[in-house]
Amino acid sequence: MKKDKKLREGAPNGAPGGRPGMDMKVLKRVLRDLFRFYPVMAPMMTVGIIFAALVSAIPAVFLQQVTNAIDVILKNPDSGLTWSGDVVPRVLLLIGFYVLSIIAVTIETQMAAIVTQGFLGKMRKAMFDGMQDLPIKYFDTHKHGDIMSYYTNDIDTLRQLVGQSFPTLVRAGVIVVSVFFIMLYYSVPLTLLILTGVIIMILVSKKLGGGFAKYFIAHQKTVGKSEGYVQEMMNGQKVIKVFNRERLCLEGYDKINGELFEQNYRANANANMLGPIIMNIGNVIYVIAAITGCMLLVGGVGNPNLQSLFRGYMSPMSVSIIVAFLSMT
Amino acid sequence: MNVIKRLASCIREYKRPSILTLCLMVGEAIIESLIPFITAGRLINTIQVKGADLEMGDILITGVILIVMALCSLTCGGLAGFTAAKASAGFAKNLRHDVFSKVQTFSFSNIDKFSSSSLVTRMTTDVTNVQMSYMMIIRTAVRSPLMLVFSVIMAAIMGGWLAATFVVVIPVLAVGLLVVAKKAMPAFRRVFRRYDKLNESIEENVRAMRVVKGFSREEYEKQKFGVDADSIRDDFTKAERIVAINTPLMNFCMYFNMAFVLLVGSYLAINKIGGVNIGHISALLTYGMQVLMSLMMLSMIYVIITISAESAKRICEVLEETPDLAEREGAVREIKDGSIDFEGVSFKYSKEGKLDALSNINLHISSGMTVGILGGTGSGKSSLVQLIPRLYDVTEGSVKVGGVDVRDYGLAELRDEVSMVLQKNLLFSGTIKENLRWGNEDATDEELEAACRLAQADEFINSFPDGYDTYIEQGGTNVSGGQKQRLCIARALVGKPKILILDDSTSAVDTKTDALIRRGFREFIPETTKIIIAQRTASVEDADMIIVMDKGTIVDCGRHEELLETSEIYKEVYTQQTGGDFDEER
Repeated sequence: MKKDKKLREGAPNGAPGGRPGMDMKVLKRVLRDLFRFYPVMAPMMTVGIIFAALVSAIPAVFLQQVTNAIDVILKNPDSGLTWSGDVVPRVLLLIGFYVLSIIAVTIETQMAAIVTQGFLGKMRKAMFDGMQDLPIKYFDTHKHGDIMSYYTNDIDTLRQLVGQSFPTLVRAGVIVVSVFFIMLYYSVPLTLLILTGVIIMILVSKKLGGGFAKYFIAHQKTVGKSEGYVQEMMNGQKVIKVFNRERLCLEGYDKINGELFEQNYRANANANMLGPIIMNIGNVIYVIAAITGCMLLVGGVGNPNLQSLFRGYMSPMSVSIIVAFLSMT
Repeated sequence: MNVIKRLASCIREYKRPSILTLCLMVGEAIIESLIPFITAGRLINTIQVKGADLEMGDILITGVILIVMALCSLTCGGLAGFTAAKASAGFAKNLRHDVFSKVQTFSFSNIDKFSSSSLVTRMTTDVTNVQMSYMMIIRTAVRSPLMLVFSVIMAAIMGGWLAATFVVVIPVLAVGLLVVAKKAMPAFRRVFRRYDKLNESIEENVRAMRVVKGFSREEYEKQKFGVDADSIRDDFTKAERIVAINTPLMNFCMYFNMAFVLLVGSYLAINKIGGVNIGHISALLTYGMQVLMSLMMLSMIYVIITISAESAKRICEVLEETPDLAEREGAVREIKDGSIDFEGVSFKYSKEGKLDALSNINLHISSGMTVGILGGTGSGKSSLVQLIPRLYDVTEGSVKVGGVDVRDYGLAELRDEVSMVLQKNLLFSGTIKENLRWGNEDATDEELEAACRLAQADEFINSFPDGYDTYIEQGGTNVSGGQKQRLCIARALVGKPKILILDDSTSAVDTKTDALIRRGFREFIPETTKIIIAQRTASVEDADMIIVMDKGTIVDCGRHEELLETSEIYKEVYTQQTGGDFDEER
């Protein structure tokens, strides 16, 4: 077991083939190594991701302010609000944020490429060095395909972890938290409604995800079986010809190929379902949020929000708030 | 074009789910692009215009319409997920079947052209790449351009001048993404090539760890691997840095769209120009996102298709390879006896090659003879015997078995009667019995045991707890080299061939067992012609005829005693191996 650990040093998954599911412990360890290897670049990259995420969450605020200004000017031309005085400065400020965000994103993504590949390079070397120190017995008792998969599949997973999962996790976390507070700032009832929708989305994707993980594992097993057969038959092709076994080998392969088709179909069909389901739950939430917002507007009932906490009174629902909410949904 | 045509022929029975997917995706794209249109036109604008006079009935009807649309979109998208999965998995199944079945028609020379590891990659990784690409094409390659067009049309209908934002955003992003994809492709190809090399080097180390350790080459291997790992890191970093430009580019377009719609839209709305209102602004922002996402998807598709084009090309190379050996019409189905004649035979492995592997071979072997062949590496021993079961065709002259040119026989009949134990002998995963029945599917258990006794394999098989039902692992890794060779000999004997060829097949067997096998051959299969290629003179000295080969020609031929007199090469090999004076023996 200790030997296994030595070779796998840095590989994110326990056993080859035991893929899906990347636990937090592994993520933590990978991140610790990442920050240890790149003490300057990795924190800078994180700051860049956080800044860009914050900027991508704020347009809703500007949208609300601009639409509010339009609404007020249209309904009451004498309100004193003007396009040049109240809309333009806000949009210019937004553009300023955008410019800074683009600079941050450019630096962050360029750094991410360097850090990710550098990290993988170090991991590969560490694994290979570890492998050279293993006793011969290890190679006699472990399938060569499994050892190879540490360098191929597991390194690939590591690339996803460092290059995609980590930045996505940070980005999504920042966006979710900031959008949540912006939503609360505008309307508590609509926030609760959207929160319910998000919880449903999470539950559905968890349920579906669990379902297709089962198919995915079954599929991976059949892939292994099929690859084993193909490898054996391609390596033994000359022997097959000497013994006239071509037809029998093809029959054997067709059987496995049929199984592979079934598993492949099931795994992909389930994975393909997730996208449209989540997207359309999003559409339904969008519609329900719009209707609820309109109902609150028409009913003229109060719209409790964080602003009312500061102001001490509850303002009613407005078109601009609905539009801002819809853009955040 | 040929590649596409060839691959398209593998869709076959999965045409229906493929077309259904396309239709469903069109439906989904239409509904998706209508949702913001209705939300803006019937919901937000109504609220803004009517304000407090709004009737809830208007909103609820619109809400129901929108929810029904979302459900329709879900149905289309969900069903398309199923049909696309079926179509692409089926396409891949047919592709794998076609490649596997094509390889079965290959001759040895066809196989030599593609290494077995490259055939495995073509049937696995390459097919998966093409499958993914196919699924992407039928799902996204139709949806994305449609979404792009519909979104722009809807935005133009709703926003009028506001849609001018797309005049800037679409070309900038399209050109940008295309340039990035074009620049990244060669970099990624370089990375893939380096990956292949790196994996090969790891595989080699894993396989040959005994040698690495035996020669204390660990440090050298570490350094060598370090250099390869560094070049992969550098190339991959370069490629990823190019692709990383996509994100700020995408952000620029998204932000430009946002700022433009807010600035110009608010101006138009406040000054009541072109009927623009808040609903339009909101819809334009949504359409902007849809347009950008569609372009992003298209650029991804471009990259994936370009990568899989390489795979498609490699698959088609196999599918379009013409088998070198073909059966003649009216082929002879029966082989009279085990006599063999080489008449003016010359042979080279590749038509373009300059060097002959064999030149001007003339030889007669009578049926039932035992013939030994000796010679150094590359002398042409294996080349000579491989022409008998027609594993290769002669370049000049002819090889006859039972008085008939081997090219006039049915291939199956010829190979049934000419059994050969290859130098690189292989056992397959399965029981010993299953492996032995490769020689003859209908052989009885008694016949299998008889063949094993003859090959001196019976004793060790019976020492296994499961006897003849012992499971052999892939590549025969759970039996020793000598046991593997004896099982391979037994497998060849099961078919009771008229000619038996052993190509250096007893090298791992001890001399005593080797002698017992030869004695068995003499006693129990005297009518079978036996050709034995060996490194040890002891393995051939009791043969009826010994052939000494050098540089693709027969240099000496005769019995053991004759050759000791006449052949310098034979005499030298014999002296070296026996370590003594051959005169003494005489």
